[in-house]
Amino acid sequence: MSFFMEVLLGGLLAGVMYSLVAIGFVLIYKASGVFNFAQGSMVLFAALTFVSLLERGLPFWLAFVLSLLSMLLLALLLERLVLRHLVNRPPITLFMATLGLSYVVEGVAQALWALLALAFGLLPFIGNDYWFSAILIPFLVLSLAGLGLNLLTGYAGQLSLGSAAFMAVGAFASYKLQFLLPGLPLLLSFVAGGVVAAAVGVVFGLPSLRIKGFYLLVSTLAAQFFVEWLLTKFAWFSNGNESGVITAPPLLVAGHDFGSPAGRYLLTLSVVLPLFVLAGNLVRSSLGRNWMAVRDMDTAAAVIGIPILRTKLLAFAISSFILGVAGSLWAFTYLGTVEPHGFDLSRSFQVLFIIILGGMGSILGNFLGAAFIVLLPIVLSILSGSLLSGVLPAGQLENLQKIIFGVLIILFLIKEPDGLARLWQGWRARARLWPLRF
Amino acid sequence: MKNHLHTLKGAVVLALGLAAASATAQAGGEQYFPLQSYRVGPYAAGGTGFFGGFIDYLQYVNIKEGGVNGVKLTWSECETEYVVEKGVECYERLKKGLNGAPAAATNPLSVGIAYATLERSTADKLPLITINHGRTDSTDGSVFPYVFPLQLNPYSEVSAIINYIGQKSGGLAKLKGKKIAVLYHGSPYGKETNPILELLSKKYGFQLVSLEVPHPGNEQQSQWLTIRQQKPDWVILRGWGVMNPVALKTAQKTGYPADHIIGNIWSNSEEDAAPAGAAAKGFISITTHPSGSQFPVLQGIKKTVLDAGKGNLADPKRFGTVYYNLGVVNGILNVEAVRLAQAKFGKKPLTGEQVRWGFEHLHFDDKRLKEVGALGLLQPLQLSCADHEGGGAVRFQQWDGQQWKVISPWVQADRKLLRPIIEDSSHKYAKEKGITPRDCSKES
Repeated sequence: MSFFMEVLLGGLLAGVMYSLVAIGFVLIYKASGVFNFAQGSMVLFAALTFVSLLERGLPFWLAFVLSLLSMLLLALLLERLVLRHLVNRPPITLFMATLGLSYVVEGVAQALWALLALAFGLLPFIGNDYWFSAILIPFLVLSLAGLGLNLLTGYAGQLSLGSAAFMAVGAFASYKLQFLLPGLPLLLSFVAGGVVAAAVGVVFGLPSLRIKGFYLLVSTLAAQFFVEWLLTKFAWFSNGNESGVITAPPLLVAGHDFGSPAGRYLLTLSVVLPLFVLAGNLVRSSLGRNWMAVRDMDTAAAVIGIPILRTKLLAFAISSFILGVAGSLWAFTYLGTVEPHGFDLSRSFQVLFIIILGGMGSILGNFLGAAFIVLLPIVLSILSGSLLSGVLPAGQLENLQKIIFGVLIILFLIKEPDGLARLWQGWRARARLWPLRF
Repeated sequence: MKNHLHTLKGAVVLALGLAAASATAQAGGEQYFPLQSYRVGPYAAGGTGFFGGFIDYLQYVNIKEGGVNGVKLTWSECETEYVVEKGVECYERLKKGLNGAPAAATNPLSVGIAYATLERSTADKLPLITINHGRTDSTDGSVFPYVFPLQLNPYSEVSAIINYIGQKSGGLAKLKGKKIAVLYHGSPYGKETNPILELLSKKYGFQLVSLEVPHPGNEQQSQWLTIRQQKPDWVILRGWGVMNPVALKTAQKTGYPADHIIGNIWSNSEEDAAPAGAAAKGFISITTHPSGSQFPVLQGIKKTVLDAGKGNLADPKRFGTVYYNLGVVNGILNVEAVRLAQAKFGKKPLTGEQVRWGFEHLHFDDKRLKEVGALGLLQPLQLSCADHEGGGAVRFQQWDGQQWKVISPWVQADRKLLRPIIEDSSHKYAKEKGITPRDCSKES
């Protein structure tokens, strides 16, 4: 009897799994007419991903969810890179393409499953502490902050110098909420911090209904100084710490500790990427079009029936939300400890530089600008340290770096006012035709 | 083809062997100090003095004694400009050591950077030295095993000042009814001691007037007008950078006598007093170490390092000033920690974890101070697992218009009174972070 039960259960389990695979198979075939020969290798890929994650010490459920996400990403990539280019080809072409895919996926999965997503899979295991803690994490967080400001300034046309203030609100709010609501999950507290920052952003965005350009800049400057003063003045915000310093809570998500440099990097990445995807979709939506209409000419936008009030305030709210989340990440996954002064005016300028250098009104530009801001000083400092040390006194080297940095910023502004993103597009267009010119 | 491969293999093996050999050769004899220094930016005066003194002392030990027990000291600098992110980047870049020489300890001399690298230091097992500043509750070594606010933490600092005012008034009992104003920098550093001052004012019955000066502090008219109205007996100046000379000048303008202003540990350098010119004459401040170059260790540095043209200071006139001497004192404490740790773990380059043991067992009595030539420069101190501060004493000095003159013996802080407050705070931190404090009775 027990033997029978064993066989029955085993068979059912196998059957259920096959039917799951088959459902996926049918779904693709019925929906797109593609006879997906790569289905089997995708199953293999999922299994290998899952097992590898488990081996890295991730809890079962987290590994499960991550594998699902990685499959989703793989599928999106396949569609984008391969299938999209084969639309309206004969079915046999598609079939052969999936056959080719199956080899690629299988090879990749077996050789190095982690190639799936360089950032998620590969880096955490080959990168070192220095790269995570000093370069990749600040790069990601500043990219996110750039995104926040870019939505407001690049897309909706509202100038702001209060970015750091909204980051501070996000950081302190999510910190404080951890104490007001014990047991609040970490990611939820990031979101809550963002929501509080959004509310504050709306309040300081109100003057934008009446004033524009440099005058608005000055009113956001007020936000910058007010928030910094408020957080320093009242110890309540830092949970009774008289000196106004807050420190990161334990970085636990679903019971897994993300406290190591690689863990902090992964946590940052998994917060930053979805927000970027969301923002990318947002600017293509009707709200994004409204923003751009308001940016280009708000009177004309009002005439064609775009609600100016709602559009501008939503820009402030969403921008501040993203900045708030960036602030929490800056405080908790990057530095670990911050004081209000860490979000001062120079941080706002830094974020502004990112979008000016990277490109206003460009999503990719935020990454490029942030990479530039984070990497250039370090590269210069290491280069000058190894090439010129001994020739010049240490202090002078630093001044030299400042000069180079400043000159590069100005050069960029003169040569390419639309930022690095535009430069990148130009290069890409040229590389596609190279060595021909037209 | 096969032959080719063989030669290639041989070359690779040889190269690897050479690399390994050179790495071990260096690791055999060097102990590395990562220096997160700042020589440009608003606080360059402090940075160049402190790191100048620190580096000169390390050079002195190398030249005079050939390092610590034959282990050469080595260092490299990374500019932070006193900016927190840069400090963190430098920390991450340098913590692994240099050419195989392991890092002994970090000394950022910045409250912000110290806070930001506090947890990293603990995770990386690398001591974080915050001499005369830092997080007060890190004095409790059972919760903060890798953090050392050596000599003087902020609470001890104000406690010693109040004790001195008590002495001046003829006993702490005479403080009753007195009025003391504190003018503090509007930053975490400036505000850190406010709760302690309130506690002391309740305990001794003096009236406390707290006045905040917003960063950076170049506008203080209204605060000093308040002081003129309130007529406090003493003003405690918790300044930083440009705020100090401005305070002294504004005090003169509003008619408050400079010799009743007491500067704290970051208002006590030549760079704080001299720019105020005549207004600074008579200004009193605390110090953990007198300025001056008469101490044997400084004479030694002058002879072997400065006179040989190897001094780190761009301006040799700053030799023996407050910041420079703080750097020397810091060097003495770091090197002594390495020396003590070597006695336990062997005469070789040590890991941060081993050097930490040395810091925790620092012990300077008059005899040992005389041996290193720092009697009167460095205060007697003894650290332990529970006490990462050690000293808690200051001397008072007065600006005569040209230089500082020491005017008091060592004045001790009321550390018994402060200890429970420090422990409250450190235990709260331990609870927040889920740290189980070490049992100090079991530490050797």
